[in-house]
Amino acid sequence: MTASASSIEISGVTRRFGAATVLHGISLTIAANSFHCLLGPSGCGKTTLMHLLAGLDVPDEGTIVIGGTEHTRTPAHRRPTNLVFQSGALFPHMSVRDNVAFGLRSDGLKGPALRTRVDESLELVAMGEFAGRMPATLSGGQRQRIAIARALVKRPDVLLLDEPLSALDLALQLHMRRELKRWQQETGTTFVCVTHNQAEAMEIADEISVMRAGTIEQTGSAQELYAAPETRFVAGFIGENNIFTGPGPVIDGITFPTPAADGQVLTLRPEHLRLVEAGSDDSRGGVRVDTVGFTGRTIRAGLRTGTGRELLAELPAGTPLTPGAEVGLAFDAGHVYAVPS
Amino acid sequence: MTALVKALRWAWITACAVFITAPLLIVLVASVSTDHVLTGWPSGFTLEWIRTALSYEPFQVGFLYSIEVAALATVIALALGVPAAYAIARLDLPGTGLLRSIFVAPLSLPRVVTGFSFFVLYVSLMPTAYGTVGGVALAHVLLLLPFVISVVGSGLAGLDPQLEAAARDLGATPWRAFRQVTLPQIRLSLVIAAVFGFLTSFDEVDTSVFLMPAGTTTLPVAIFLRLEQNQDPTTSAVSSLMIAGSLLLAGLTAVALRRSGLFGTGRNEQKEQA
Repeated sequence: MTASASSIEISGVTRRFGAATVLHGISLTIAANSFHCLLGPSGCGKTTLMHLLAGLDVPDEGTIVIGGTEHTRTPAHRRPTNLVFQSGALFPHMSVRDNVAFGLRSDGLKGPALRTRVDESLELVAMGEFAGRMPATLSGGQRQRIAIARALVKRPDVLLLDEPLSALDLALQLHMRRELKRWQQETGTTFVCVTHNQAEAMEIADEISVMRAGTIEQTGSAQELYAAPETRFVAGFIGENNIFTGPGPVIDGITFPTPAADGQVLTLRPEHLRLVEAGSDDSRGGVRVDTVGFTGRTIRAGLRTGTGRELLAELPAGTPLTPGAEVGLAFDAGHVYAVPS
Repeated sequence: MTALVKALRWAWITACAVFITAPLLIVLVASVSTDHVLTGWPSGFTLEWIRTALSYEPFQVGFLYSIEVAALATVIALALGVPAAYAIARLDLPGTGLLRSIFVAPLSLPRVVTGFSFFVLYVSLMPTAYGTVGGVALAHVLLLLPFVISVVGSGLAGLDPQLEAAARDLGATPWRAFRQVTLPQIRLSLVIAAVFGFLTSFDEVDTSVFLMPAGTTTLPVAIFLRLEQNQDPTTSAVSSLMIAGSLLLAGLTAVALRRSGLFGTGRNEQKEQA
């Protein structure tokens, strides 16, 4: 099953609800055939942007072009997009088969052609044997698969997913992430997924737009966002980070190779920290080990500087550590990133 | 729970049940008793009063007239009430609270006043409506609307509005989304609103009595008029028939709902899952 993919161009999109401006002149280009995630905390406007893309809402300003055609004000039922709701929104009074067939029937498809398309879509999400079941008899994960099959069966240019995995338990989420990625690759459809889960976004997306308070802070691949965050928010939101605020070069008792410029903060990823003997040549400052947690592959150590600042270090499993120990903190100068505060 | 508390609870429930059913039972007994006026234990059994009631022409005419009025009033109340309930529940309209109050206002109006208002309206502005099925039904619509809007409104309130958005996203027009996704899910509310709306209209006296000439009246008004002239048990007999008819309709509705799976779907679903 393949579909013609399409790129999305969002230009200067603003959306207000009464006195509150939820989106502030958003501009974004999403490549065809890609898996794009809109990532941000709740209230950042990501779901509003998704509804504007789906045609369930209309922007106050700006334009939305999908596949080269402007769709800013096109109603939902005439757009080349389909949306998978957070809850799945399966029609409870219809069987799985009728749910999946609903969109095709709207297009006037009937008979064997309809049946073939529905079967094909159910097979894609490995739910063929559930065709006769009612939604209430399915588990959360199965319902979400059907919701995705119901949207994909229409062969949309763009599939929109609104927090599709957030209602599932963690094990199922991890499994479904790989499935989503596989379905995107198999169908060649552009997937745009809204999520607040950075680990999920990093795992499934080709490109991520990090949103905050109605604006896009940064767009890039997971690697780009992780390695070179452009703002303090992105530095803190994508993966874990230790953020140092102050003029430097000594901040919270830690000596940095170069001071932070005006309006900048210094960031250090937990996995880039090393613990050495207190007062040794490598040590850039003394810290006390507060907590030690074993995660399997690594040890997560909660550290505290002399000024009372908490830091997080991710160390190789087997590192000998005792809570309360006084140690030296070490890191390579190249791992310190300065980002605008 | 002590035995005493348990006994008191049963006594309380029994007292309430007796209070509710006693008047009905007395009417039922009076309608098959040989006594003209029931003053104690019935002295004999007879179907005479029921035969008289069934052959009494004003009752026969009234019965058909009542059916017509109730059916028409129910259809109009649903046609007006369902879109109104939908608009209140779904659309982001300013002043929905005020609208809701306006829609339930007729409930607080004495029915006699409603009847008199319509009488004045018909006599002064719409003389052709007086005494017609349409004229009486229209007045009944005012009584049924608050009920329809409340019942259908609470049905809609329990629905996930995303279902309709999902239908529209899948290519359905707003009308198809409403018809195929929303409407089937409020079937229970619609059936309840229709059945009880019909019964309310069918039994209505206070408003109707103002809107019909003595010759052609609804069945309850015919009963009322007969009672003014003659207190024999024929009135009890026709009342018994009305009670039986109402119970039969309510019972049949319950059975139909159960058969169609509108009641107890949760249990069936659990069974399927197991």
